[in-house]
Amino acid sequence: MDKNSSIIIMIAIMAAATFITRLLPFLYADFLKSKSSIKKLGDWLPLMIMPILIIASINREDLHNINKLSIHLIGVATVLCLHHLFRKTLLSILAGTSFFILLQNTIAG
Amino acid sequence: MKASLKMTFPVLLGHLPVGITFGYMLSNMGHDWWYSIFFALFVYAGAAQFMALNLLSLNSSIFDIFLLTFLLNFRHIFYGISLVDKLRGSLIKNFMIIFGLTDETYSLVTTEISKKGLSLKHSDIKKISLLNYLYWIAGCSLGGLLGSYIKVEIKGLEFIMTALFTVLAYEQFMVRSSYKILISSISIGVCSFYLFSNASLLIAIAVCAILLIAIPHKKVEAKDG
Repeated sequence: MDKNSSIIIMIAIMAAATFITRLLPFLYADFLKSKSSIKKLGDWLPLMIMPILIIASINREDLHNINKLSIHLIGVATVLCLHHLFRKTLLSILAGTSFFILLQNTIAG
Repeated sequence: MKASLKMTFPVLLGHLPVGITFGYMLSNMGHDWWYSIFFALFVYAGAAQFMALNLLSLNSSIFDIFLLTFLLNFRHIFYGISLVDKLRGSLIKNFMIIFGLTDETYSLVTTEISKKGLSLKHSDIKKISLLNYLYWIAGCSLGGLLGSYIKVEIKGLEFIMTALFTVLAYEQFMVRSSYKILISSISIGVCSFYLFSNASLLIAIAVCAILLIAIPHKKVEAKDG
């Protein structure tokens, strides 16, 4: 199989596999809606998932490097403080990220 | 529209550099730049697309590609389950939201639902979903083009996604405060990312879902802070 047809097949398979994971719950919506455990998931899963997505968004190599990990932790703490003080999403994200970039380019080199 | 643009702006800032990185890497592997657009248009899953770069260089089988993508994106099933009773209407009406149910869109949409409840309009959810999709397509295409011409490096900008999830975690916590839930989630996340390499995101989210189903409702609802 040549390079171009194999990448097209790959895109098709990955598209199908991804879409299935997004569609399945909606196909069985009636069944799922009758379950009380589903309500619990809907209520509490978002809060549980956010911290995990924070960890997941950090580069895997940085998780194992104590200096880089510290900078990420400081960055997250900065964003939390800013957001707690001003409650302005864009400000928290942009100021926090600028501070992180500054730290990473000065301390971590 | 203005409100949706403002709300999704952090995702734009995150999707552009990450999409550019993806497109850039794909082009650098010797593939035509427009394959990046196809990936963004049809696959539309960040983590899976980066995995695809590895799979391409490994000459993986069709079965491997399907299984790995399915497992990596299995977390979307939990996202869908938690939205099922909040999205009314037919599958076709909700197509954009279902097709575009990424980590970022799910986070924004659930935060909006928590804040606004039933007053949140269906069209607003659709706008958030569509805008995030467009940002991703723009990023991947741009990266693909750049990769076939020049070399760029954006150091530290990827923290935007971390910052976005941090703000969203804060907002979720304001709506539903439970230190028990928060601490369990952080512990599960940390353990999972240090113990398992490839399936860590899936394992962490699956453990959370199982834990939530297993513990009695009253224990979760009881505020402990």
